[in-house]
Amino acid sequence: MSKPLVSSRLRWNRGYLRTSTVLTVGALLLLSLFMAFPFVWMLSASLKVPKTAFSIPPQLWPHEWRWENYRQVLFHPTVPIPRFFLNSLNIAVLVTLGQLVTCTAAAYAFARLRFRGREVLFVVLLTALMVPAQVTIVPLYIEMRFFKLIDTHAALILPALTNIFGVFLLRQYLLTIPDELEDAARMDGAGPVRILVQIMLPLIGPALTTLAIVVFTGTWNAFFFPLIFLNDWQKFTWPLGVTMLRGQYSQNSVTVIMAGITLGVAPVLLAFLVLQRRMIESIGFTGGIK
Amino acid sequence: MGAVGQVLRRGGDGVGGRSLRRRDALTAWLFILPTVVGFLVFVIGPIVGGLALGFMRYDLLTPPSFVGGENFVKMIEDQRILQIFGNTVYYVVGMIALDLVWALILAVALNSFIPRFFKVFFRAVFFFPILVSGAVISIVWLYLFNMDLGIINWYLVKLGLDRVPWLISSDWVRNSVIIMTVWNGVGFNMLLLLAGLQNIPVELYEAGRIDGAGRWASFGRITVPMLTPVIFFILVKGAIGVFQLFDSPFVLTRGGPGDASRTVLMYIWEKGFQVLDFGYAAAIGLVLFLAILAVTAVQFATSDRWVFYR
Repeated sequence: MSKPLVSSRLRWNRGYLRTSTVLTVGALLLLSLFMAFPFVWMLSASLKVPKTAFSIPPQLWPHEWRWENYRQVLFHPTVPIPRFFLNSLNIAVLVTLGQLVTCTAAAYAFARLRFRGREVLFVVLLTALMVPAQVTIVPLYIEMRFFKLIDTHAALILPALTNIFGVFLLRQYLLTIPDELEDAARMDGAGPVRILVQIMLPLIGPALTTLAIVVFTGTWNAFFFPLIFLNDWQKFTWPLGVTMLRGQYSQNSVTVIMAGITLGVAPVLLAFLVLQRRMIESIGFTGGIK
Repeated sequence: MGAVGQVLRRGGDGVGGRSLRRRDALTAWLFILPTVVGFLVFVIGPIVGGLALGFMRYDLLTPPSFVGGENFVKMIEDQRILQIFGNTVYYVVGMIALDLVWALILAVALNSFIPRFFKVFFRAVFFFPILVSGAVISIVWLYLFNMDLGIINWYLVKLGLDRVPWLISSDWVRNSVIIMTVWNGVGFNMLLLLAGLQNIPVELYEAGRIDGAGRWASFGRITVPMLTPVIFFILVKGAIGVFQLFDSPFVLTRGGPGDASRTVLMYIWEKGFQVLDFGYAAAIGLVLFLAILAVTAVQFATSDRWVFYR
């Protein structure tokens, strides 16, 4: 991100504490309260005694901290939350690793290797970006049924192992690497695989991180496809499973439901706090390149 | 391209150039094989299958039978379809408009002259909701939106306003879905617009000031035109995305009251996976696809009238 030129001339200092700055910060504070409010309410409710969840006036700071809610949701008799976590983790890790491999390989071929029909094939593949996945859901379901994959994690993993957007992203990145690096390696007798692994991979690290973050969070949060393909509770992913906390089969108090949701949001928040800059830059980069 | 590279790439001139090229091509095909297979099986296959299925009757139990345009006739006669497509169009327009305004306000505020610490902090707060599953966080909003016990209405009453029937009134429910969904996703477009703002050269504003442009004039005549490529991208991507809306209305309202908040994709889900009328569901999917294509085409066709490329 390029810094605005202003910053070099008008460096921030106490002398610049103008009313407009105070007003802007105040407005931003209000906006951020609104943006963060659902999470604050969720956290607060997850620590309350059930009957005080909707007390009037609302108390965001619980009188009595009830950690019992968390124990209840972790050891829930009918809704196995830890199981859902493992399922989601399993699927998201496999999909992310799979895409990193298939997208890198394909992107390298499209960006760096010469073969007949390269450009045409690439354009044809790009049309996949135009076809919304959800629109093909009905035939895809029938296809999966034909493969006998309904109610398996494979139905979620297999279609997600390749990703045209990932190929496109990495290809754009690989195109910026100077040819000379590759030529030198070729003179030394390195083949395409060695060039890819030893020279290209270290150079496209940022793009790989971007892809990994986007794919992992997307898979972790997915709701629609698991809803379609999974029937057995034991196989549910976290977003699908946690909505079952307030389903017809188990009536839970709002406090326990909020504890369940908080348990899933907390790791994301922690990861975000650690990777904040990296994530934000990579998302901005992804959007910019599309 | 280096001289050595040219020799190696062209092949024939250098020693073993021909076999190198062949090896390259073979490696290339091996490298793209997974992607091509995935494309054929999970993109082309379902598209062809969907095209065929749209003209068939199929309920998983009896073999599919060809019925011609029956599914499309049924769609015209379907009393619910107009409301549902209408809802979806309402969502597309409402969400994109609100998202654009909201994201622009956040981006402009973040781009203003404030200490770096605040910038990083606010950017993080605005961005975070996007990382949380829309389906899951909709459960939280379900309680916030509650007519009698919800905290939003409690604050409204406190401010001297009336309670809003967020999720139980047919007139309000779509707006509530829009608010929640935009809240969830606004961080992404905020980042895009912020990047766009930071790429506007300061010289333009200085030139504007010399020409006597005030704050609003320079926003309207410099900032907005310079952001049009980003705005165009947001419109195209937003329309494609919102046409497929499912998660938030599914959890917030299940499409109700009645069909007041149901989207096309929810209807496809209902017809396909609840009623097992797969041919009809596929036909609706085809129409939705055509609608998305048409809107995207119109957006691109009209873009040269207002998108300003440097």
